[in-house]
Amino acid sequence: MRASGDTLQGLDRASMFGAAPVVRVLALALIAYPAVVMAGQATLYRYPQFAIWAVGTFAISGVVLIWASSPLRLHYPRGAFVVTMTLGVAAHILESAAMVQGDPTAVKHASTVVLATLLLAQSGYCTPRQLLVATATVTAAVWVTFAAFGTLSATPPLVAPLMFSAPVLVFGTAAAAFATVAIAARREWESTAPQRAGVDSDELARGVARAVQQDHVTLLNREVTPLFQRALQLGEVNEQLRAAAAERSRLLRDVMVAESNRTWLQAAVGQCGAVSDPDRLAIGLEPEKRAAVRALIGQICRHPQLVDGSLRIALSSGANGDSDVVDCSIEFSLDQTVPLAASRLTPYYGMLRALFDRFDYGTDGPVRWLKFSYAR
Amino acid sequence: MSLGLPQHLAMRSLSEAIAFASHVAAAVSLTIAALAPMLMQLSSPDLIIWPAAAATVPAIALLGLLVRSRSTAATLLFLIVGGAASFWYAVTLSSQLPQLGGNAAIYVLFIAALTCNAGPAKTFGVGVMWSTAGFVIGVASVFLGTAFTGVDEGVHPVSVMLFLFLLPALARAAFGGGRAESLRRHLYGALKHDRVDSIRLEAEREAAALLHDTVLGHLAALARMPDGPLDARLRTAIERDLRRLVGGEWLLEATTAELSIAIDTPFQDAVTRSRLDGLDVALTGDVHAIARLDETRGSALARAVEQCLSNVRRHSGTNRAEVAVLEGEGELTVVIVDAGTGFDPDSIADDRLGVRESILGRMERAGGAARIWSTPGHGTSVLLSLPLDDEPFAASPSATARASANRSANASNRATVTATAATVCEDPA
Repeated sequence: MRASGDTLQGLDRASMFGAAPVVRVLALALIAYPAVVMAGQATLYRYPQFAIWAVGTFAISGVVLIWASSPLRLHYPRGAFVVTMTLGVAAHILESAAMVQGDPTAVKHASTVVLATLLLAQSGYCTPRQLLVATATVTAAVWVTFAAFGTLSATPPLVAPLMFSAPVLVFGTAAAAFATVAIAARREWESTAPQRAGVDSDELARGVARAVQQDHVTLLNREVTPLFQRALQLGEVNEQLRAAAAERSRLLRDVMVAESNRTWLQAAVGQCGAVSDPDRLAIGLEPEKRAAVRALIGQICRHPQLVDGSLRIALSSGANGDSDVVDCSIEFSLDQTVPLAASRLTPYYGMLRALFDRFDYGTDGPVRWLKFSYAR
Repeated sequence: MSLGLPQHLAMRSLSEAIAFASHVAAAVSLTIAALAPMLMQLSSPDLIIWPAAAATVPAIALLGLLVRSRSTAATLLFLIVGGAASFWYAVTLSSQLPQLGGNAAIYVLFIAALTCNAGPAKTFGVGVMWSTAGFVIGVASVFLGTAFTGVDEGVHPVSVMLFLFLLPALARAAFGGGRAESLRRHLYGALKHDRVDSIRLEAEREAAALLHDTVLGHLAALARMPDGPLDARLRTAIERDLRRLVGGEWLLEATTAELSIAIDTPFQDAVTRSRLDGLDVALTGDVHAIARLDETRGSALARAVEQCLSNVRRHSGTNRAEVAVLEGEGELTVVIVDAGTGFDPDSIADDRLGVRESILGRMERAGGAARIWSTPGHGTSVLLSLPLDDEPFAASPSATARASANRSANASNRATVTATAATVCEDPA
């Protein structure tokens, strides 16, 4: 199993950054809940050591869940869903073995609630189909376990396994329903994005064009119009007029060259740092990737520990012999004398990892660096 | 992968997803609540347990109504009828199977179904209030039902219910609030800034190209003129500059559709103006194909051609140029060829805007491309290409990327007149 465009993580990575701490809480509940329930009814178990192993198996499953749902991971790892559910079923078998030949209705089955929690915790990383298939498989496993331990026919027959598999059925189908609606909303948003962008851009373009024109008209009125009017009034050219025209020409050219050379990256960084992009490679980046880089730059520039002027961004191509690939490196320093704030940049790193190739990051003393690539 | 939903839609989507998931959970709970008494009835035919299964029918029906219409009336109806059904369910089971006790898991199913009503509201907080109401009604009805039949043990499905309440809260925290909310706001804020900046940068480049072709050119002409009366053509051009650039909305018109500076037929006018300036322009090929370009592209092409011809007149050392118009494969191509002195494209300084903005940049912004081949002593060929109107408009940044690729191609091919250009036009050498 891998996170693809068919999962909530694949379609809306931003949603999953908030999910990671909640998944950790649920993973801890996977350990705490069965431990408390089983401890409370320890005397009812015929083989309590199996109950302890069941708690241990749930703990492993919780650790796998925490590991797999790290927000810095590119995809939910292949097989993590299968591993956690298999461990959950194994724990359920151990719990059933602990009470073998006992009265199944006399004790609480913590394992089925935990299995249901596992399904819910992974609803953002799986497709609705995977969740439904897992729900059906786990339910079947619960029934087979009841049959294997000879408790299927406990009075009244079939009712006990039905009741104990109820949490899995209820929360498994609810998890699939949740994923279905959440994914559908994202798909609809993506499908209508081009139309929205067109409308927004048209409206924006008019306002921005007016503002830019006004800037230029102001410049022309100040620097050029008086000169042209003087030339028209005089009706002839002289040395003074030639010199003034040459000077205004240089001034105007300098302004226009500066405007034409500026890229979105320089605009985004502003006074916060320095950009080295002699080939203007930044202009080839897609809008959504630009937005992610901009958002990160915004966070870096607002970071309370940022050392003034330490942000450096460099773009180059052809470093590995492939001129179609642009390599971007970002470097900045954080003041380590200030108490460390929570890692506010982590979600942005995760976003960039999902959007760019060869993403890497690290630290070197106070210096933080990250590198990534994209096709031109 | 996209940036996902903006915050306001993410919250709405989350609310809808939680509501739908709650309704599915309620439906499955009621189905199991119906199946269990039926199994019990099969195993104990002498007891009368089937009315408990029957009690779930109205609750399931009203849940269906609630799914279709998340209204206050539907929710109230579900809770009132569901509460009564739950009471009946508890009375039936506890009277026939008193050994179950009041705390049996089977009763929790009905309470869970009533709790998972999600309510009529779109907001999370109000949904929790309706769930609380459902929980209270469910617990009360089961408690009264079991008490009615004299079962002592009370209902206390607290742990399960806490779990039910905790889940929507966790889902909201996970997918809606906190870090996700902050990230979404920053991403969409960045996207908005980026859009404004992109449009502004494009507008500034367009303005630079327009001013280069007009004001800057006339200032340069003034700076080069010898002492004496002002040239009549320059006077006319300066008057036109003052009238249109300072007084009108030239940039808005240039970036949206028509360009006031370009007159009725922009391409023909560009050629005519160059001829009036003393250049002998031979126009060949399918000139009528230009009419298939929309106003924006037609205007951009005309101004780029005019800039090319202006360069020929001012820099090539010849007063002859050929303009060939070709149409093919959904694309219009215009080639401007002169047999002048040529130049080394690498020698053009970065601050020269004529080629970069008025030709390359202008074509790029119009969704097309421009390529230049020139060799010192062997003339120059410029190839301008634009998609025709029935082709999708390749707006930035894809056009930007394409033009960027073309720029790279220009860099590598600058010193060579390629076979393509030589085939399309006569070899300028």
